[in-house]
Amino acid sequence: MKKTVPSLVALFGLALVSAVLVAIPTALTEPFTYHTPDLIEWLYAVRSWGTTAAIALFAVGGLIFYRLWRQRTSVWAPAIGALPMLLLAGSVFFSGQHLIEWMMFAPPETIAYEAASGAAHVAESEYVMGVSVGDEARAYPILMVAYYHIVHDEIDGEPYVVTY
Amino acid sequence: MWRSEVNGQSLHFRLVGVNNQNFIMEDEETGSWWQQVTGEAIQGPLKGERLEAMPYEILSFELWRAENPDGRVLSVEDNRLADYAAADWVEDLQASFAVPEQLIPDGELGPRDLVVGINIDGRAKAYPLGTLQKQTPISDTVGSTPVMVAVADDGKSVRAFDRRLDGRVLELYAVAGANPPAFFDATSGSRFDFRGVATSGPLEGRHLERIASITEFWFDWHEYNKDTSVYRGGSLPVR
Repeated sequence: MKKTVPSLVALFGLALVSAVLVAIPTALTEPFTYHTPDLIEWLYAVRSWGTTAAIALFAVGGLIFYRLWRQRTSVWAPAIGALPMLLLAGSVFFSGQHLIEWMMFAPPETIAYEAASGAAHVAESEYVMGVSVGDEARAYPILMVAYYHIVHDEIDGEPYVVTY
Repeated sequence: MWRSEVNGQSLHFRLVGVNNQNFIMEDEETGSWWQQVTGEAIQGPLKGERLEAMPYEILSFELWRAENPDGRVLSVEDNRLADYAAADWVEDLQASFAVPEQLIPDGELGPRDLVVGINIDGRAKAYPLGTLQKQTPISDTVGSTPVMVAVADDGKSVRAFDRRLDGRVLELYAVAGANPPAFFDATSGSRFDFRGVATSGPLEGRHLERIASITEFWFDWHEYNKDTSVYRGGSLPVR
């Protein structure tokens, strides 16, 4: 019992630190405050080390959990300890994800086109981003690109991204 | 809009965050961070690299379709219909938050005033959209390049052209009442359409070179074009 509570506290603490580290790059790249280049550099560092840090925290948590398990007198301590272990594992997973796409703006899954003359989903007064390469003319409705943010496409074997 | 190959490597970009109200893309191949409006890698292994611009225009669908009857339009994904509407709401929300103080340039233009930004050979100039709407077409010079900037009746479909043709700098004026806009060259009497193609007169069939422009918030243009000049030919912009 004496070693159980500190171990559980440590596990939850690790889970919290890991979650914060993974959340920081997303949480702080927001559209409300001013960002200095130094802040961006720091956020990039947190992001690029995020997975490594999350794995390390998961490993430390694993050691603590293992000791909890070995010294258990009932199932309760490890059972409670399993929760922060799940969170630690989740942080490892999410550290590699693009959280803003998860939460807000996901890219298209498929790209398809229709003839300009028939495109009923675009009103005449709406705006489009128009691209022309050779004989090929394509329009990307702003309302759609504003949601996707990034659309990968290619013309004539040349890849490009539509961004708005 | 950017070509996505850098040094022969095709990059795939994901949305990773916002930097001073302009978003950051992260490429899957190297993890580098790219500023969306400049196409420059600001962090990561490819820091300092710049994406090549893909020429594009923002036009009303009506205008684009009239010019490109055989063109194709991106189709909707049915399961995303609610999302497209939500994007509007998010943009409105963002616009309701003030631009941070540090990003507000000095001068008369408000941070979210729309300007038409042109950058030629490192010389940048901003044309307040309100001014352009009143004075279209504007004949001007950016650096050493004579330009014409014009906007259609909708007030938002903008085009910019190089006024040089056959060694001469054209003086172009609006054809009254033309919709889409048309221009005539005072010297030769040739008429040009909104695509910059001469449709009548001695220059018929010739065309003016288009110049890339971007219509965006003044504060964002200024953030990445700190030395920009601002067109001031006449009245102050309407907010």
